[in-house]
Amino acid sequence: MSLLFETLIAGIMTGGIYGVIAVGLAMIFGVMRVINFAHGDFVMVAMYVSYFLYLWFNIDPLLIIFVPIAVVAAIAFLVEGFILRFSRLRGVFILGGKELTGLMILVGISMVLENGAQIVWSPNYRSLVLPWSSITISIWGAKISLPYVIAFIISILTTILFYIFMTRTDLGRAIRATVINREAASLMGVDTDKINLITWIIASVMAGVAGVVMSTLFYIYPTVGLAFTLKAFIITILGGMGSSIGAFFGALLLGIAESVGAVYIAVGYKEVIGYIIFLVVLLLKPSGLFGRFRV
Amino acid sequence: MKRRIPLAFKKPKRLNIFLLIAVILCLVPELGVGTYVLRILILSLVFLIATMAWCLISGYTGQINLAPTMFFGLGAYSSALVARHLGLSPWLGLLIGPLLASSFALVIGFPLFRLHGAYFALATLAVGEILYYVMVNEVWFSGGTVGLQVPFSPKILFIDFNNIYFQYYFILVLAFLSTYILYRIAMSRLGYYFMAIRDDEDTAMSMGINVFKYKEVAFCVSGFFTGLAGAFYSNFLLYVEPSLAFGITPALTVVIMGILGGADTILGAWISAPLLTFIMEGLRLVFGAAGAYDLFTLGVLIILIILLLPRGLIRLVTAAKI
Repeated sequence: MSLLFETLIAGIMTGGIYGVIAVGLAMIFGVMRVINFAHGDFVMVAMYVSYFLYLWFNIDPLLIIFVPIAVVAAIAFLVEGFILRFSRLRGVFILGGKELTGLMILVGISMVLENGAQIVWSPNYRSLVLPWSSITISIWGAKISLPYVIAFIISILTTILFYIFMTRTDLGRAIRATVINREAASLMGVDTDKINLITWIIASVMAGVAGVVMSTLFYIYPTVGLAFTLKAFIITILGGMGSSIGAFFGALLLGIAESVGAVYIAVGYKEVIGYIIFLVVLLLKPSGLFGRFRV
Repeated sequence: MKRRIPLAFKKPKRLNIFLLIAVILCLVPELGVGTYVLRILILSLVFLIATMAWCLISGYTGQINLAPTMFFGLGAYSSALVARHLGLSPWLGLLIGPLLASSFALVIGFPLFRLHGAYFALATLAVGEILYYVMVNEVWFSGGTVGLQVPFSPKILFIDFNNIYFQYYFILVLAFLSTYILYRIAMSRLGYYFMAIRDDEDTAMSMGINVFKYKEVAFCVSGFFTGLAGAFYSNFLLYVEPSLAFGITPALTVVIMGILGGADTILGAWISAPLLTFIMEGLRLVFGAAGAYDLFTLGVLIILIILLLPRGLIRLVTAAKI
């Protein structure tokens, strides 16, 4: 029983962190109908920046969380403001259409970031060990390491802030209007080009937050982002493409499924469980498990 | 359809150029180039076949397969597995691999073709990843991450399967055959069905085209040739492991070669596959394999080509009115 409880807690914690990544991916898809293949690489960049901040200046990355976030947001600004906008202005299409053109450009950007990181920082695995990394606390008898708890709390806070932003501010409403109907929103005076840029910045800020909190949890290496990108895809499908809050619940579900699967089925098949859930949901309920939320 | 000469070769100049390239390729081993160059040529011909097959499903039919490696890997593993579990010559994989890959395409097509556009693309990626993890985890069957050695094949009569010249001519013949077959398919009535599905699925359906059936046909043919390339690949390297066969890197390499050459053509791959293979090998030679400069360049190239020449390098040839 206590094993099951511990597994569930671990699953929810990991799920909460995945949630921050997936919400951003879902938001970009909702607004622009583009799948950000480089989303996990944004996380990777934030992880490296916080690692080097600690290595060079000995500052706890959580205290200057805005530095890695600013770096990632700058990359997102370049990607959307120059490359993707340029492709839209030129009206280029490859193969089937707009969605796939954006996807392939982002595949390219993901390769550039991933292999750029490998060139600059070498493919070695690094780990960020902070003074409080090895502390464990117990919640109702389940032992959880402190970095996980902190990462989870920050992730939840970020998601709540995001939710408040999307539902309570004018800008958030404008973004949601763009998700629902781009043309109508633009006729109502929403500057959709600006909304695109803001969406990218917000999504990358969330990826940056995830990167900082995860730098204390996982090994840091150049190709770490791909795993996060794929997980975020799975989650957005579970939650319904374009629904950010659905994505958050999807993330919790994936986190739990992964940790339960790792304990009770086989550690090696942890990832496969996610993909199988992904395919099953995609086939049976392509609109996602939580279709009613449209945030 | 009584057209004897394929459309692309109607202009005699173009046919001549193609024949010239064919003759040069046949004579390459006689020109005294080293084994190293020959190996790269063989690799580019392997990727050429896989890329042309990818173009049929993705460029012609419009169903983006982000993991052509699911077929490539099945082909590659079938050679090694035939040798390991049945004790037969790994060259039998060249028969079994394509058949296995194309039956896999048939089966997996049933669920996958219920999806459209980007959803389909992501689902193919998931299928590729599942196969990758199965190969990593089922160590008794596939050797796990260490992979499998492909044993040397014994000589049959005077054919030495491990002679690099034999391998070169073998893959060259395969490449010409695949080009011919895929080109004929693309130019036939079937090809027009594929393009109709790509351009507008609903209209295609209302014209009486069985959309699902023709997507399956394209997927199976694509699977067959990609499996063939994979089966040859592991016989050539004498070695196969999960990330080489099912990894993201070979998958994206094929996809990028397809788009770079011109995804909606079969012949575009003849430009992009050798070009990219040589660029990547060159970068590896200069900077070392660990540096990842090759994949970095690949990423930059794909962004530039989509932004500046979205329909591929083949359009430069068409624009030059050759």
